[in-house]
Amino acid sequence: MKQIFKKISAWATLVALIAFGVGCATVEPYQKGNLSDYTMRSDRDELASVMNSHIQFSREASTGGEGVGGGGCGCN
Amino acid sequence: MKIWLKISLTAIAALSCVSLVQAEGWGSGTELPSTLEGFALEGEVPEMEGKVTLVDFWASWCAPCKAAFPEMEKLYQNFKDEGFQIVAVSVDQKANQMQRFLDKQKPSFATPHDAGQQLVKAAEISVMPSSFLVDRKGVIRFAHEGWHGKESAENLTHQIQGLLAE
Repeated sequence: MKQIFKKISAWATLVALIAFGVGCATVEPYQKGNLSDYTMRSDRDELASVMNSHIQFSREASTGGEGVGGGGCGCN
Repeated sequence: MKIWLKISLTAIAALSCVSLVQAEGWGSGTELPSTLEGFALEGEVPEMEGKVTLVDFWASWCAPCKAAFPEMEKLYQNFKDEGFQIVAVSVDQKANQMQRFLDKQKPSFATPHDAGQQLVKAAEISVMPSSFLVDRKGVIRFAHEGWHGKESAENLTHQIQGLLAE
């Protein structure tokens, strides 16, 4: 029983390695144009950015780095 | 040794071999064909035979690539009468973005578009920009990765002068 379990584990490992190995893909340097596209920017929507930073500094009590002030009281 | 460990090590070794075999591209000593027309480039592609040629891979989304253009223009103007030329191959996937940059920059040298990215795939570059200095016999003599401003310009000047003198 132990031997069968070992064999199954070995084959499962091999199948997993092959599956993950085949799934590996490298983005070539000349293909990175899509990553620098405007639609990939997190700050492409100005209104959403302002809203997000407001929520973050209110909820997380975080100040600095976002250009907004406040103590995290959630009152502004 | 446990069987699963043996199998894992064999598989890892096999995968490593595959990645090593794939790591072949242009480099110092690679002989290029006399013309690059076989790679379906769009736009003017000058003959390379008998000329010292700088083959540069660039894209409009790549800031260092664009920073190199004024210096490449200077190099071209300085050495074009002695038999030097530049083939600046754009690997842009969006032709309008490439054209917008070219309209602004107006380079005097050839700027073909590798729309299908066939040539750049054959060159197997690992950094943008990458450029290759080819001698009059069509052999790559120097490979450059990235653009390091004045240092790159000085290196290129020195190397171009050397190849033109041969």
